[in-house]
Parts: sequence; structure tokens; C-alpha cells
Amino acid sequence: MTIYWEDLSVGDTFISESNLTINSEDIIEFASKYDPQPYHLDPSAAEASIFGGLCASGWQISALTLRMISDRFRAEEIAMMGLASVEKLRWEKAVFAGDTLSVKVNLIEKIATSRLPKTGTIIAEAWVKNQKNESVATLTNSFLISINSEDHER
Amino acid sequence: MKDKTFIRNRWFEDIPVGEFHVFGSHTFSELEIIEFGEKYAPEVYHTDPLKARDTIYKGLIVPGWQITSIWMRMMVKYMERFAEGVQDGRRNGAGLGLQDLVWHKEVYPGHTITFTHEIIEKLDKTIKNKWGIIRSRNEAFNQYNELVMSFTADILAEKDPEN
Repeated sequence: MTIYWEDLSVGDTFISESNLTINSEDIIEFASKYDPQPYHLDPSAAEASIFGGLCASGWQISALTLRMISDRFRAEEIAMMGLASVEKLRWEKAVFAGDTLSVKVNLIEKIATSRLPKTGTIIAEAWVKNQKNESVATLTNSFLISINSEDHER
Repeated sequence: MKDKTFIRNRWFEDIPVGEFHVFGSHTFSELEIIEFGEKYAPEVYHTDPLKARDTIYKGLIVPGWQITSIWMRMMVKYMERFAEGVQDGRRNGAGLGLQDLVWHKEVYPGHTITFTHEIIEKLDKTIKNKWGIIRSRNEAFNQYNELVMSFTADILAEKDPEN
């Protein structure tokens, strides 16, 4: 059964179903297309850098975070129509090849409108952790969620 | 080296608030949207041009994080053109994070997006005795001059050890 904007409540919590392991090929492939800096491309240059080892682009972590969240929302049949904005994002710790990530999402606010018709907004905090339970990123996101129009027309 | 100031080998102290750059433009192809979509954003409006027509977006659209990721590539490529002498990114530190990232308008295949970057603030804070924080306002416009994305980024820059 599809879950619409009106079915969600402040305080709802979602945890990513499967943890995601990132390998060096993934890191290098993304970086060569979108973030071609030595510490994301070349393991030996990365060792000498501020990070001390080959690590993923923060933009790749952001995209993977949304992937983990939207996979979870899809499993719940939440009518998510995209990400509207990110109020705040902090990359707290580098993600290295072999790290396994998971994400927890907590709904903190609901707004009945958005820039799309028949679509509301939910604001949710997300915590991304690695396998050592260390926080690697925290985000405040605004998701677009369809409003059940049948309900609306009643 | 000392008598020339290149964009990428400047110290934190040398970077002026108000400096403005146009990184350049990128035209999104259907193929690169689908490739990114399949890996990072597997909704039909990012992966299937036909099924995308039946969604609220009425066609394939570029995933938001792909627009932001292309901003990153445009910045790296732009800075490289000025990177005389500094290839290792030594004075160009990691990004700490961002605020107020908004995707204002859909970007469709064939749209040409122009990316701009303005230094708006230098934060009064030193990290690990070495790095200062440069705050920038970043914007992306489509070919109709409509704002499609904007955000404020905080990026580390190395402080001059002689200061």
C-alpha cells in the first residue's frame, strides 16, 4: 500500500535495510568522472594527503546516502518524488575503500506544500555511519512526497 | 614563484572575500544521466526516458546530486588551469560540508548549465593549527538564465605558516 505525505508523522524513523560496502574501484570510477583529485584517484598520492589514504569523494557519499534512503523508502512504498534541498550537510570522517555504510533517518518536520503540484515536503535528519559505528556524515534533507489526491478531493 | 599569485597555491590569507569565478558550462546528455541514475538514483525519471514521461516531471531529469557532482568537476578543472606548481592539492583542503543546497528547477537532457562560485566569508577559526575555512556561494544557471541549483560550501584552505 502506497504511503503518501499525509501518512507520515514527525518522529518516524527509518534505517537502511542493507549496509553498503564501497570498494576502491567505485571510489576511483566516481572520482575520475566527478572529483578528479589525487586523494580520490591515486592510492599513493592519497597516503601523503590530508586524509592519509584513498577515500571517497564527499559527493559520492552524499549520492550513496540518498540511494540508501530511497531504497528504504521504496521498500516501504513511500511515494517519494525526489530530494528538494539539503539544509545542512557535514562530512565528518573520510570514507575509505572497504568501509561499510548505513544510514538512519528521522522525520523532524512536515510541510504541506512544495514546488511540485500535489506534493508535500518532509524534513528529515540523516546520520551516516561506518562499520565502526563512527559518524561519517550528517545531513538535514527535504524530501518531496506525493499527497494522496483522492483524499484531497473529498 | 613568490612574485606570482596563482589561484590554487595561494594561502588562506591571500584569498579575497568577493572574488567571483565562472567555472564554465556543462551540457547534460541522456546517457550520463542514466549511468548516474542506475548507480545512485534508480528512480524511473532518472533511468528510463519513456517511463519518465508518465511521471510528474514528464521526462528524464538530472539527479540533483549529479548536478552538484558536476559542479565539483567544473571546479577542479577550472582550478587546474591555474595550478602552476601545486599539483597535490596541498593548500586546497577538503570540503567540510555545505548549507542551503536547493535544487530550484529540473534539469533535462540537452540543458546547458553554467556554474559560478563567489567567496563570501572567511571564518575566524583554525582547524588542526593549519587550516582556515573559506565559505563560498555557488550557483548554477540553465540556458534560460534560470537558477537551477545553489548552495553555500565550507572548504579548508591552508594558512600561511609565516603569519
